[in-house]
Amino acid sequence: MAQLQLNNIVKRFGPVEVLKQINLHIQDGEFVVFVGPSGCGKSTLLRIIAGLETQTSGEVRIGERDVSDLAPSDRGIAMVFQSYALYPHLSVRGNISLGLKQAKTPQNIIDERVEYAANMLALTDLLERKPAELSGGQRQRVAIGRAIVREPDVFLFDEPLSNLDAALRSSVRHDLAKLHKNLNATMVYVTHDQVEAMTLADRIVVMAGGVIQQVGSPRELYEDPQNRFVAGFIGSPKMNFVPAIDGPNGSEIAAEGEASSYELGLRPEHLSLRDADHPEGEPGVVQFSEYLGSESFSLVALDKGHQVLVRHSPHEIWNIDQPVKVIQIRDGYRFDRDGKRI
Amino acid sequence: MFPRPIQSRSSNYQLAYKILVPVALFIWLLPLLAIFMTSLRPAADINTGNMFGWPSEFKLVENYLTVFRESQAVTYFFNSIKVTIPTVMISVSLACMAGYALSIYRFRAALPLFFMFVAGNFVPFQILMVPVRDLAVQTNLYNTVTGLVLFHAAFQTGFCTLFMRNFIKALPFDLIESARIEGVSEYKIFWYVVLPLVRPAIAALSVLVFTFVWNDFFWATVLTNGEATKPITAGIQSLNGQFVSRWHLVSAASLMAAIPPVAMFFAMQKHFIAGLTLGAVK
Repeated sequence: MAQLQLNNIVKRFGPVEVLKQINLHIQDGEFVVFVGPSGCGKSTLLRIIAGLETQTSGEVRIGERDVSDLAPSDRGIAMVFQSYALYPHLSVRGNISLGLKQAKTPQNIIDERVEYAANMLALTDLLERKPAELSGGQRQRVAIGRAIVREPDVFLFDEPLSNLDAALRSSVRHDLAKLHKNLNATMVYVTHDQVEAMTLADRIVVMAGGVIQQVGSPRELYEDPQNRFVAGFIGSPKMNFVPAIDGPNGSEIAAEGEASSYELGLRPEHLSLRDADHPEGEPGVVQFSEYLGSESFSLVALDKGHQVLVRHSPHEIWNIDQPVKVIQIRDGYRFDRDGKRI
Repeated sequence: MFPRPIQSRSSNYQLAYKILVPVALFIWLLPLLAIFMTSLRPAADINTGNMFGWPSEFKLVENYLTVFRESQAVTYFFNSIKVTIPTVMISVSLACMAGYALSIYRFRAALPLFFMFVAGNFVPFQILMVPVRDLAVQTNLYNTVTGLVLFHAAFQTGFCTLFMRNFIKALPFDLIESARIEGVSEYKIFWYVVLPLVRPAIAALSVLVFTFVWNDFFWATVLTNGEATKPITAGIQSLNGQFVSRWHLVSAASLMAAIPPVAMFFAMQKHFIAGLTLGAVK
């Protein structure tokens, strides 16, 4: 196991700069998740760590070694692909042991490691099957097993769960969390799914436009986003953004077309709905309500011209076209014109 | 779904289909049938103009035996084998390697090189007849099996590379990257990962090239003149004497010459199982 360091990584494809000066230090045994919208460079960064892509400039260090110019197999990494990349003509055992065999590992050690991985991933009964005879979740476990037997310093995962259906996804997610605990390994995980990021990560790296927007624990990112992008990206449903000005009682929402001095970010759970005759709050009209069982969301069109989504108890019932007032039960986040948190 | 199952069409359509398919098949096979009918006539029928009518006499066994008695059909047959099998092996193995390089490695010349392979297929080989024969004579390869193999291999490899390159390109690239991460050397990736996955393509290509080369008449005539090296396609000609044409014997020999490619097709049929990569990636 080892720490992973990225120093000033830049990647250009022709004139396009897809990664701009990436600096990141990942601790030994840490589970770090890269999230961001598609095209933000998170997969490219992972592939640079793996050595499948060459950085235009910068340095990758694993443990104490500079691995920037080493072949993928010499970096002490193992990677799990989104497509699993299992060899269709080899059995599960063949898939898991191919790398070891090529490295001329003694047979008894191969057997031992395959058995260890198979036990950990509940693959023991499937060892002689071909990938085509396995379900999606089983294939995914084989791909993980193939990574485990290499005993790498760093595990890399490239959207490993996106080919699985929702139910399976959450169970494999738990398996991954358990695996991380058991192996105590350094893991880097790329996803666009913020639920995966929030649940798995020790630290999340939010990326956009080839730049790291913020690095922090899931709680830090949610409760203390440093910019508008992170605030909007983390949290579901999304944070509401409305233009605002300073009024006598704190922030006041500015009407559409009116001058505003900053943008106010309000999470749906930081708002609440009251009847129209309530003395405080912004008047508006309910556009629609979504009942999700444990919670409900209502979209309200404010008289000032903006729409905000409000989370409320499923027992509160608000009808479409009903006039209401929206009150703030917590201070919002303020962002300046460049999206920076004030 | 396409094509639509015939059962879901109207009954008139089905009827027309059932009548037209055998008719089309008959027209399609008519030349073959004509050759077969010729091969069992006596020579007199052809000389008297009874080309397409009912044979005056059935001389099936006799004609076919005469082929072996009066020509070196067995030698020709083995010459064909000696030319075809090495050609298939050389072209297909070269094509696998070139196709792998062209599809897996990103280097500057990959695309121009690939286009050269494609463009080579557009050159009509007839215009190469004189230079190739000249080259063969100069290099002492004229009228040798080695010469035929080398020239055939040279002409077939272009098409084969195009074929294999596209097949290997269609493999999921993750498989190769995954093997690289596991430390499998490039040569072993080719051998243990790529080749097993393109086996159906190799089988199909081998049959195709086998047929091309076996059926070749042009180069066989241009590059050989002796009985000892002539493949069967060129050898059959010698059944026609200097002054008489014996089409019944030529027909019989032609049909026999066609057996190996046909047999090859049926023998390799089971290797054409597509979708071997199914289950590799979802």
